[in-house]
Amino acid sequence: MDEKEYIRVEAVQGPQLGASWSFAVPRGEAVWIPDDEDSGMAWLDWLTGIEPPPAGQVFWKGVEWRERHPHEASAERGRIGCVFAGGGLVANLDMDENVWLPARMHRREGAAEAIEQWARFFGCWPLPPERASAVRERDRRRILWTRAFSGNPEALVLERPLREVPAEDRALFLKAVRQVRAEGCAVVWLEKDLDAETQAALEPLARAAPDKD
Amino acid sequence: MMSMVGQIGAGVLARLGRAARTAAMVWAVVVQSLRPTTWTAPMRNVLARQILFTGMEATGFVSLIAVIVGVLVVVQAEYWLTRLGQTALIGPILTAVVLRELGPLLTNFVVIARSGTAISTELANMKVHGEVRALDAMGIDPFVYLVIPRVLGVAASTFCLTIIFLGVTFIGGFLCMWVIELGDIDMGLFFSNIIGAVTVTDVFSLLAKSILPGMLTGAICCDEALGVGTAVTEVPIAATRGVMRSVGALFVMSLLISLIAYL
Repeated sequence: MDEKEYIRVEAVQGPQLGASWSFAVPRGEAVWIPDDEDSGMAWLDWLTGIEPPPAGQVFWKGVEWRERHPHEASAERGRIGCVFAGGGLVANLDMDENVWLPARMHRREGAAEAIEQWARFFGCWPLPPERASAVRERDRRRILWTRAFSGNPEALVLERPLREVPAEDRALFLKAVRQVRAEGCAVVWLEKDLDAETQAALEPLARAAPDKD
Repeated sequence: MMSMVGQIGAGVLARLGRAARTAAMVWAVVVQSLRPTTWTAPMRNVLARQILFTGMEATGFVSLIAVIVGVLVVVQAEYWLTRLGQTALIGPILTAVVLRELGPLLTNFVVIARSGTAISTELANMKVHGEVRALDAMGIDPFVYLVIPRVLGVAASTFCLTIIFLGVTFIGGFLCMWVIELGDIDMGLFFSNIIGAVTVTDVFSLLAKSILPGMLTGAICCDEALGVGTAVTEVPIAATRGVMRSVGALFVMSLLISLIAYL
């Protein structure tokens, strides 16, 4: 296994057990998985090891998720930033608590600086001390991005991160992705169709495809 | 005939399986809570909120119930013991009825009704709306962040509420006696009668009957809530099942502790 490979997917199949998928996401690289949300392929769950795929294996830094002790797996997941397509924010916490939650749970050092830096970058500083329901959808997206990027992630798993996002925010988000990639972060983008502009912004971008028999 | 026997057997096995899972959850809570790494700031925050909701905010209602129970028990005891000429036994009877059985039982009922439903509904909604999945994906173990503080919080609150319940019941009972006897009652004698009737077994029984069912309530409600899928319609079902199973566990646990302690 290549040391630079953060994520490796081997012969993973979905619930319908169609063609299998195998690919790797090396350090600093981006892979687009053309993920149809109705396909039953829970890519984010499989890549972060919270659910095993029905068939095949998913490796994080050379170790299959199921081979890790639960505590070790949780600690490793803390090194992955996730942007969720739906929800992702804890409703009974304020927005600032939501952003701080993973940092406090994983006892990250320098979290305050990183959170402020990314919140300013995405234009949501100061973080609103309000529940998610009291915050505009646009701000919720920015807060989700802040949380995902502020943990100094080694990989990002982005589940349709730009759905219904205004153009200026899209540009900001893509700039942030390029920035963390330059620092070595591996990126997985989950989206059925990726427009040419986004593809160009993510170049070099590998497209994952089912294995050929 | 065989299929009916098979169905009964399957039902019994399913119930035993659920009971074993709940016991395993409680055990895991105890073991995990001994690990210093479990006690992160957000986890302690959830625990504090749980104690605030289950313990502090229920104090008024539990006290009201306790006063009513104190009056009811004293009125009945006074009525029957006067006929038997044994009014001095009011203290020991209060101890036997309230401290050993009614206090922990009614306090647990209040906790199940208030907090059991709240825990089930809140966690089931979190599961349905993908919040639990998000926590898991961020490396935040839902068991550590959601389950442990709730189970410990409910257990600690139930114990404290039971003590409050007993204190208020005895004070309410004394005031009731004072009114019945038109002030002709010795407060010191009344309370020394109660305290004198308390045995070491009573203390351990009280601890077990307040803490164990509290832990079971927390574990059962979390278990039912986190078992829902993606449909919102599963939320009320999880809440109902959580409450019903908690009530069942409360009675079984109280019965077992009484049998072990007093037989």
